[in-house]
Amino acid sequence: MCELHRRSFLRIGLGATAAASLSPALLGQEAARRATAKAVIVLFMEGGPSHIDTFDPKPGKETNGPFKAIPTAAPGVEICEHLPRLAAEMKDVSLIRSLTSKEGDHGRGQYIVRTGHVPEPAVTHPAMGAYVSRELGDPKAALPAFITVQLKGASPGAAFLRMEHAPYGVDRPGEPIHNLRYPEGVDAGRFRDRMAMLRELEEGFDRERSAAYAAGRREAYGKADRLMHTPDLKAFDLSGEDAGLRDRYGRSPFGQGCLLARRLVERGVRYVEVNLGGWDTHGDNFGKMRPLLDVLDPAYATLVRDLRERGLLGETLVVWMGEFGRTPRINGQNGRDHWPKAFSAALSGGGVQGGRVVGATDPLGFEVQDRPVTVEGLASTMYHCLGVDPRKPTMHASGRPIRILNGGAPVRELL
Amino acid sequence: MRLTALVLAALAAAPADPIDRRIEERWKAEGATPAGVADDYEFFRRLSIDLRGVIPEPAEIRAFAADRAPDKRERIVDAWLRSDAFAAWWSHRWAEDLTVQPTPKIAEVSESFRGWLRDAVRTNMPYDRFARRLLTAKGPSDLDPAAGFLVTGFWNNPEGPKDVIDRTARIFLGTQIRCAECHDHPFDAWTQEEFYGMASFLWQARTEISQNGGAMMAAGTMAPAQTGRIVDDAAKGNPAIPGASKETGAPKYKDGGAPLPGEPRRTALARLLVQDRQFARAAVNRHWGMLLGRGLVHPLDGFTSTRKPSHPELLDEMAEEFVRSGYDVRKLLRSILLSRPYQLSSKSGDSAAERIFARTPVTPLGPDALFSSLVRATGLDGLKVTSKGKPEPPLKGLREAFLREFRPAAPSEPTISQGLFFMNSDVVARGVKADPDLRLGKLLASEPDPARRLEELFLATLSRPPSPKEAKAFAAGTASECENVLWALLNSTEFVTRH
Repeated sequence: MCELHRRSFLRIGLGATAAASLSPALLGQEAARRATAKAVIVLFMEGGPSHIDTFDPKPGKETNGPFKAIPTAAPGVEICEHLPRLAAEMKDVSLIRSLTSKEGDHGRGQYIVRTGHVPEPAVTHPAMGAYVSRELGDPKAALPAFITVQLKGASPGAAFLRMEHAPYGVDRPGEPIHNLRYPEGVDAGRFRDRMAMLRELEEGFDRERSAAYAAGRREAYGKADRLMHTPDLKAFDLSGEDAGLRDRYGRSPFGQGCLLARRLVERGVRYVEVNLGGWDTHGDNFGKMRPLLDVLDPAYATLVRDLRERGLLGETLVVWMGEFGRTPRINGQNGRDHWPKAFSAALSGGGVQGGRVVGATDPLGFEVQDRPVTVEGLASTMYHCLGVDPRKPTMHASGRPIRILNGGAPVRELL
Repeated sequence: MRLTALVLAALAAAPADPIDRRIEERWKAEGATPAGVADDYEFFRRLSIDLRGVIPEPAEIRAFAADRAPDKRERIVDAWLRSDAFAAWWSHRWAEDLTVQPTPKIAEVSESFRGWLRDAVRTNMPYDRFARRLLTAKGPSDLDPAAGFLVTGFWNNPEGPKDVIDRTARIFLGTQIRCAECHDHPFDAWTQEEFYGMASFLWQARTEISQNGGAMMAAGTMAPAQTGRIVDDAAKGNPAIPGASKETGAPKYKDGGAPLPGEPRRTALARLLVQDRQFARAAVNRHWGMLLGRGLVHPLDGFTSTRKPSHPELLDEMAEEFVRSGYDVRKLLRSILLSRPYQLSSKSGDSAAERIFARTPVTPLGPDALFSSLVRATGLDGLKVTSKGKPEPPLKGLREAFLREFRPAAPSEPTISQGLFFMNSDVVARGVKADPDLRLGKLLASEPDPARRLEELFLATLSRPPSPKEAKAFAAGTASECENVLWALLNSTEFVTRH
């Protein structure tokens, strides 16, 4: 459907010259040749972590809190002392210290980093994972291409893309996607009885009405049934993993979520978002951050290392990000407030060179001083690594073509 | 004499209802065979969903089906249009449409705004006054809750004026102007300059939130309340049009209207808006679409200079009648609900004919109506849940789990994940249990006859009795069998759609 609409848009809406200069098919092919990543793991820090207390320390300055900076395996790059294991992996991690956006509200901020679009009243944009599912997902795979782990907020989801690109949520790592198991008191036999009754009702409804929506549901129920019973669900079972490795990831839900992400990527899942919430530290910033950093450090460091040791890092892009940074000035409650003007992201693998730092904030961490990178630029970098052409338009129901991204250029210094 | 007879015959053949006349004209012109009239069950369920946001109770259905009066459809329409359930549901739909952005931190403002919307529906506030109040209210929101539209739209929102004018144009003019923010509209007459001219009416407005609302405190009530008001700040000037930096966008309505000398900008916008012929046309189209699932212009914000309505004369006639009635919304709704196209069945006829309203389309229930209907069908609101010895509002958690799954999705297509939710989730699994607090448990205790149990379960979910074939195919003898039946009914397309 999208293909068809896109073509007709190009023909009708732009005319021959413009269509030739756009030529999304050609651009797409070129992008695909360059691509090195096959999958993305996003470590999403819900709430907005302080940039100064993670990847952009300001040692000796009044905006730096009690956390010290430590050197890392990447020469000249310092990060927060409470990320020591990650510091040892920094040869494979690069930082963007000059991200900037205008969205200081959690909902709007999360929307823009998850979609690469500023919220608009008339359109809900698909999450990046939904686009990646459409562009790179294997239509024959039993497992969905886009999976979220421990999502607390709302993902924009598939929006106007087809249903199979919607995210599937795992509530507790170690258990499968939610709602995949028979409810209590139901076994395979009873489930089949119920499905047979449902079929009877559906046939009756369809005989009288032959509605497209009923056909869509039949397809969705068929896929749901298949997903419930696929042997690929083994991917969600962490019990076969080496106990020592599980410990190194950390036995936290986030740590086990990162391990799950690796297993999913190994089995062809294209976009996994693992969430760690609690960064909205308006009060007691440092007291609240310590335990979060203690969860983050082993999980993130082990993920990078595990992927590398398995030879998967080259084809797996790992991105650490939140919706914004936090105020450099420490407030009266010893906390930090929302700060979208300047914040950090970290990237590894998937064609990204490690050990680099792009951009800088001023000496106190308030403003981007060098090489500002927009959220669109970050999204564009991710699509670039995956070989997805972000200019590709999809026709929206409103009759207006919507591109994967409206702008933003990949951060070349990382590639 | 012969002529008179012909005229009389023509009059007798033509339906008196102006809506029916135009719709039927078109059926004839296109040679379409309309679907039959919906039977009482189909009609009653549809009306309940549309006006109350939930499927009907079995007892109501039985009473309606048993009523032999020829005017029973008119009576139920009139009764429900005046009901609290209608005010609650219709104002909820308005609140959703008028929510420019989520603002959980100023929930008290949104709450008072919802209350104002409910009153506006209940008192059948004339539509022109309704629009005028939304755009000109100043607050504070505890005394002047209509301000909630702008207060929430502008709160903490750098795009406030653009977002609000976009929403205003989509709802009250039925057209999208936002594309013209960055470039002249590709398919329409709106230019970038016109967009900024419209946005300029709202450019100087901003939200001010006060955590200890003066009014409540002064009135001697204890709790400091949160209020919001709109401040118009002339110092903010006019928007700069990108790419034309020397020029600024002075307030200018699309047809050239501007504020009168001394007239505040928002007042001028409201005046120009309700004077616009398109205002009434968009109102008619919006209400038509909300009830028939498809606008005369579709989508409802799809008016452009090039797109023709499916029934141009009908749209104009209804718009004229709406203005003549003094913007009487209830009268408008009533005329649509009692028209022939609304009362058509979704059975028979072909789907292509839905375009000219010759058949009622099958459309998915929205997340709120679906959850309310799931709760009503199962009796989940009667469930007693305790957590650590304390009674809990049982529905809150279930509702959240439900909306997480159903809210973000595209309304047009069922998703696999939503299928899984109905198949396996705790919410549905609990709802179908033969628990004494739930519908099924109560039914098992009170109704020994399996056939009548089956009928009750069909009425409670699909709002109709089982067909003879279904009555034969489904056993409702044991509790376990009844659970299976209820599960299958809740998972059916017939349950999750309006038809």
